[in-house]
Amino acid sequence: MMRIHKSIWFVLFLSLWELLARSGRFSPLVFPPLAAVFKALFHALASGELLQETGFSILLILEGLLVGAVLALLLGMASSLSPLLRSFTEALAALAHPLPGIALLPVIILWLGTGRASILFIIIHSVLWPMLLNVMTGFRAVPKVLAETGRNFGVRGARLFLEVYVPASLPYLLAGLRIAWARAWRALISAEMIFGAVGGKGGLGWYIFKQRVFMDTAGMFSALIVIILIGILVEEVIFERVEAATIRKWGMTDQ
Amino acid sequence: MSEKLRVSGINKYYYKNGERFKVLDSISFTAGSGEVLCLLGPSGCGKSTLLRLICGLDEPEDGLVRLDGKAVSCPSPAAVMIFQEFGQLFPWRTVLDNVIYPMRVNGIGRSEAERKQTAETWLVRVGLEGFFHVFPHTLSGGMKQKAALARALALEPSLLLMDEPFGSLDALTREGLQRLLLQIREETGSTILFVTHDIQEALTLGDRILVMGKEPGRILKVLENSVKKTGKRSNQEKSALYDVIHNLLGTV
Ligand SMILES: Nc1ncnc2c1ncn2[C@@H]1O[C@H](COP(=O)(O)OP(=O)(O)O)[C@@H](O)[C@H]1O
Ligand SMILES: [Mg+2]
Repeated sequence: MMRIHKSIWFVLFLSLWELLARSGRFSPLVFPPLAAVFKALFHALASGELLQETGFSILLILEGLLVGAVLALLLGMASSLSPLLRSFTEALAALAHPLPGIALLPVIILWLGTGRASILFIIIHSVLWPMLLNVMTGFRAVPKVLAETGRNFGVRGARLFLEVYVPASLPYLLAGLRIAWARAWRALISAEMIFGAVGGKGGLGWYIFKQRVFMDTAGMFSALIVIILIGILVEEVIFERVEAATIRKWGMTDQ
Repeated sequence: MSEKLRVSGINKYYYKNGERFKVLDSISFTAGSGEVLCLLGPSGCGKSTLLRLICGLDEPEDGLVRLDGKAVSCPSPAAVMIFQEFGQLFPWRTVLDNVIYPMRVNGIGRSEAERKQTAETWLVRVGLEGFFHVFPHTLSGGMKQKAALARALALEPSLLLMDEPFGSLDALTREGLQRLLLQIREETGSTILFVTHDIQEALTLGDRILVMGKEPGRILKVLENSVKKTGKRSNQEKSALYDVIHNLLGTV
């Protein structure tokens, strides 16, 4: 039912768009008709340029997600071992978490220049803190009986974390990853756009910026469509599937 | 009967609202090999705390726990605990894998195939054939406790610690599991320390019954369970012992 409703709205949005575009009130430079947008999308995809830029962005965000998530797990483990480390990480997270990655940009450019490393830094920043908070909450929420059962069986050290704490807190970890993804994806596009202006290279954000310079409005919108599609793919297909294959299959979603 | 477990002079303190209070007061007792020892006492008298100390999950301020003559200092599968909570099975592992996993961790069985076979044998023994490949959340409470029992037995522990494992089950299921436990004990000769606050359950299962009192937790009396020994559950004898315990516990 929900799906049907949603797609009806989509069709309505698109029709309204087309009506406005064809009303003759707006220049196609400001408000291109759908046909022009899809044509631009097709050409950009066919030429391989848009795919290349998308690939650049995806690779970058995967790298950042991986590094950020692993760092969050390591910090989470360390801080559940020592109260001193815990208060340290909590203080650090309290300072860094409210800071949007993009706000760090001038500082990062000063420190790392305008290359790929700087974008990666912003992604890791966007991933690390929300993920860390969820790791720490998740570890604390691990049922005592599971942790003690694991210890009773002689599971200890890194193994206890990886084989008991991590799966037992998976609902929290996946929720953290969802937030981390959303933050990182937005930060990535913004950063690419600004680095494009400074003369960096690549990415969907940079592609949009480039089309603006060329006054190719339809081309800008075609990149926006790609961004939306990737967002839907990740949030409603990939995360959904991962959750269905893990925490929902294991009956861990209502804890 | 050789000595399996020796608990000597245990004192244990906890903090409540910043104040130190004594949970266990000079607890000493022994359990013989192959014995079912029931620990019976009111809720909050420190039964779980005592089991956790014996298991090595926690340390006492004074005293010593010896299992097979060796001092217990950290948790090990030599003494396996079965908890009251149904959530003790790993939700992300199938029932079969729940049994295999701790065997693998402890290098029990020469190969994965052998472990699988042992695990299946135990699951069949507790009546879970046909449930090998399901996840724990699909099992009923009684089945979960059976799976936990199979998982513990597959480790061939020197001592089985059971902390009110049937406490959350309905009466009928509980009786079934009590019978199953006694049968398995006959077959394996396992030594079992069984915690309960139910006098009836202690009379059904225990060769001896340690009656505990509260605040601080201490042993009031050690009783031979003549009812179980004779096998002839004469109602008169049973109710006499029941009354003795009832009076000891001082409950209405
Ligand atoms: N980790 C703990 N910290 C402080 N007090 C505790 C802790 N665990 C148990 N207690 C207290 O110790 C007493 C004994 O608890 P417990 O061993 O669980 O009793 P039982 O299993 O016999 O019901 C209770 O008063 C309980 O509130
Ligand atoms: Mg208890």
